[in-house]
Amino acid sequence: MSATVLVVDDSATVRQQVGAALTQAGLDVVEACDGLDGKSKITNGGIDCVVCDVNMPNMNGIEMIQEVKSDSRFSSLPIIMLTTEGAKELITQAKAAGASGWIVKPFNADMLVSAVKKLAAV
Amino acid sequence: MNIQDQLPRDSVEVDPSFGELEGALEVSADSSLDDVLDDSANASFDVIAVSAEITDKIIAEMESMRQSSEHAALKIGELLTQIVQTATTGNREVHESLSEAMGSHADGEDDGAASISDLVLQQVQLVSQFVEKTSAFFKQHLELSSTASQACRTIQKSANEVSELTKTSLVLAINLRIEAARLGDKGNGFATLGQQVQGFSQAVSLAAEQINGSAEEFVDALPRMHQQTLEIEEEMATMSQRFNSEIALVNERTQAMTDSLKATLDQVEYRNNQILGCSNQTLSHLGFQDPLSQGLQRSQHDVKQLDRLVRGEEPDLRSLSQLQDDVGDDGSVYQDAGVVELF
Repeated sequence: MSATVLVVDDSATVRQQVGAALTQAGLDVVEACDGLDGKSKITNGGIDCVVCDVNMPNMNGIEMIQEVKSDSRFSSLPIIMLTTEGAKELITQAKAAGASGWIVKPFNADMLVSAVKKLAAV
Repeated sequence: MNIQDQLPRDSVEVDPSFGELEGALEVSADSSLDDVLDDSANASFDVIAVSAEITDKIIAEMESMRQSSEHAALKIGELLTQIVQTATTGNREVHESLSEAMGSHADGEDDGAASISDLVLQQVQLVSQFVEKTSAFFKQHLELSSTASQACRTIQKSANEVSELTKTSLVLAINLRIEAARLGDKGNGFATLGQQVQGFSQAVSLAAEQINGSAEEFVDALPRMHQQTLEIEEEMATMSQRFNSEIALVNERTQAMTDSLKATLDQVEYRNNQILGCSNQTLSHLGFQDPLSQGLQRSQHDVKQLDRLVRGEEPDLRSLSQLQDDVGDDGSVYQDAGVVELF
């Protein structure tokens, strides 16, 4: 069974490489360039898992999680943070907002895919 | 005293040509910041305004360079992605091609097509079935020959008995004719009957002889047929053995070829996976460990601090690493990179 993963990052390079890693693993990928775009694509439906950056223009990753999780339809949607940030308070904040995991960049493609597949129950 | 207080309050004319500023701002290597500021204060232009312009220009150029760097990284990323896709496609095509040649999926999935070894096995089974059926046919043929031989002997015996009976009936016919001759005219009917019985007996005798002759020929032919059948059966057995032996050889060579192809496939896949691994690693490094981008980021930070100095503000003397947890002084970053923590 395949799953659709939304990659939210303001860096096209990151979106590209995350997308390549997930696509190679047989997953479908949708991209969003910031939190606002990400939220819009999640509410459109069809997303099984989200890989999201923290620091982004317009709406950051944690704000996006808070907004998305406030909608009961997406309360169980797994969202993994993929960021250069490693501060404990930020991780705690993301966890409280409803994030399912935290990955520090640069990521290991196999570990990312493994985490996504686990959370998306693929 | 605040540095700002040392600078002239009134702006003087500003020459927009930065080229001319070079001489005006030229200072010796051992000049202190205060000297520079004193010189600037006496210069015939607004140092703060010019500094701001220069700073903006430097930052804009750095931003442009950073964007160029990011664009280059993106382009390299695209090309690496193409390499990855090519390697992936190569893997798939090699799999499909070899699977097609071998008649089965290299990954073990059965697509319904028979493999070479399957075909060989089928041929062996077909030949074995043919040999078994032929052998059964020969056996049946030999039994039938024996039965036919026995039947022929019975026929011969019956024909001999018929011959004996015809001899008796001939005697009877002769007797009839003798008796008819003795009776004279009154015995004409018996004479005719005697003639007919004699003719009938001769015809039956002839037929019995022919039957006997044919049966004899048949009986003579049966051992030859029997012998030929045995010879063909033996020849078939020899051919079957030879066929099985050659098929075993074909099977052995097919297996060797399949093993070789699989080894080649593994090699190609291994190389492609190496390409994939290297490409993925490069992709991973591109986005986050671009030294040029990091250097520009640090330089931008330094220029901003310099601008603060020129403006008379307190510079933020913290290093980039103090300002950003994830960036080190040397530009190296992300000590915990790649760590996955699922909540």
